[in-house]
Amino acid sequence: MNITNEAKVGITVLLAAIVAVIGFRFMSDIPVFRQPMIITAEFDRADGLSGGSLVYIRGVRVGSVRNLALNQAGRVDVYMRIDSEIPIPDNSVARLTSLGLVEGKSIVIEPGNSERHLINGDTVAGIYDESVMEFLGQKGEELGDDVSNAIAELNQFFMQLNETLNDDARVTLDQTLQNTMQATERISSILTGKQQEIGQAIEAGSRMLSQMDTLVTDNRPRVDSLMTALESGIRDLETVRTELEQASVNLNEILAKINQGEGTLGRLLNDPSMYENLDSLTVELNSLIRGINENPGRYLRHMSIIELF
Amino acid sequence: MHALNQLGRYSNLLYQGLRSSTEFRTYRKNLFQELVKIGYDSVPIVILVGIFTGSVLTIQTAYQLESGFIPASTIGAIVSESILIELAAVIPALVLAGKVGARIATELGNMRVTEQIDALESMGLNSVSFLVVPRLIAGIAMFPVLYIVASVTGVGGGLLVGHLSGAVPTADFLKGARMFFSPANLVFGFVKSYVFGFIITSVACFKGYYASGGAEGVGRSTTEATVMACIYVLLADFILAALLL
Repeated sequence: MNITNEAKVGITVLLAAIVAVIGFRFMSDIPVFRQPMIITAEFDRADGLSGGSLVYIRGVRVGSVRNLALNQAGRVDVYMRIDSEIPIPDNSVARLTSLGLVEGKSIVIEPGNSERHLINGDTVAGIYDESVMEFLGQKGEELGDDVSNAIAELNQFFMQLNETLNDDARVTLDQTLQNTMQATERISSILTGKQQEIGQAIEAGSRMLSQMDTLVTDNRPRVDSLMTALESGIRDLETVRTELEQASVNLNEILAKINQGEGTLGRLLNDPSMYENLDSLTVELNSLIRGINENPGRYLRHMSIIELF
Repeated sequence: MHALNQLGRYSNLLYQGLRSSTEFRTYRKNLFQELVKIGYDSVPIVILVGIFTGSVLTIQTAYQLESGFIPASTIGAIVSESILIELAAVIPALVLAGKVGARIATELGNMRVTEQIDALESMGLNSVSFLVVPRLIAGIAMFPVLYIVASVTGVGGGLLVGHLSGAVPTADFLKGARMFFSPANLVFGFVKSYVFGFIITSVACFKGYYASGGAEGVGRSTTEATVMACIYVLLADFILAALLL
């Protein structure tokens, strides 16, 4: 086949152009045949971040930073290309953080719980995490002072310890240890000496237990019948209790009736009129007896002594 | 004095070329021939150069950074950046200074010493337009294309060798390469390749067009063309780096 020079040139240039476009998109981390979604995150600051920094969701790379720019509010807008086709809730938060000590900064998107999803051009809130190195850099001085203070105090403590542990103290400590050792030895020897007795005691205990066991085993029928009798007794007691309960209910009813003033007893207790009658009767009787005492003739006028007897 | 003389003749040649670059009908056929010879025919060797550049760079960078503290992605960043900024433009240029430059200088030198150029002139044909202009245009047009080829094969070769040798996992390589990838570097590489294409073809045309002294003279001008093209490529590389970066 005879290819003309023009065709050869055309093929070369065309292929180079295609390869260049694909290569560019590939290196820029843009999906080769698809438009990525651009999401903006707003941060107070974006130290260490640059175009090409990676974007993660739960540790999986989903895109990269396209560029950074200061906005009108004096904050930093970070434009991210998101390649993932997985929808991201629109209340997600972008966290600018460093994944390792030596690695550069990355953005980690923490998905929210919203039903609505981010679309191209949306903005999410950004949080700037101080990296370990920055933290150390800021806190370094204080930390250094603290550490040196701590070491000085530790030093002092050890010196004091050394002083405390002078020769006398050491001797005392030594003696204490020796005493303790002797005591332990003595306890040990006592135990050794009394080994036989302890053994006998244990044997005796064991024998006693076994005797109790046999006693129980031998007398099992009698114990059984005793138990049966007890059971029937308890049953009888139960019947008695039920009857008593019934009686007490009846008594309660009666008492309630009396309280309400029903029946003879009730009236007697609750109706004051009988008492009042009795009372006035007593008063009358009193005055009558006084009258008789003072002037018996008045009452005895119509009675002759003869008649009386 | 000789150097100034040369510079003047060189400038004159370029001036004539620029002035006659509008005579498209004169050099149209030659242009496509040169585009094929400089571009199409150079693609295989540029692919080869690209792959080897990338792989050697990856292995050597990995060897040099063999310490636990440097993440493997750094290797990818170094390799791809070096290739895109520098090596994909310069190394093919040096190779093509030999391949293309020598061919152009020999062709034109031979035509000069066998008085073919004089014959063209006597026929009323503008020899600069007919011979020099298509070669210059082809050089300027095709070197960026070859730069693309060298970039892609270079980074691809580095990636592949990093994977095969186990020096750099593919994901780490790409992570580093992407992290430091910027279009500005590509622009820089393209500018370089334009300049190198112009330098190689113009120097070769100049040396061949003004060749003298028979077969020996042709050989001498070919050698000079190749050597001078290489030197000027390196010089221009330095100047561009100083100016643009």
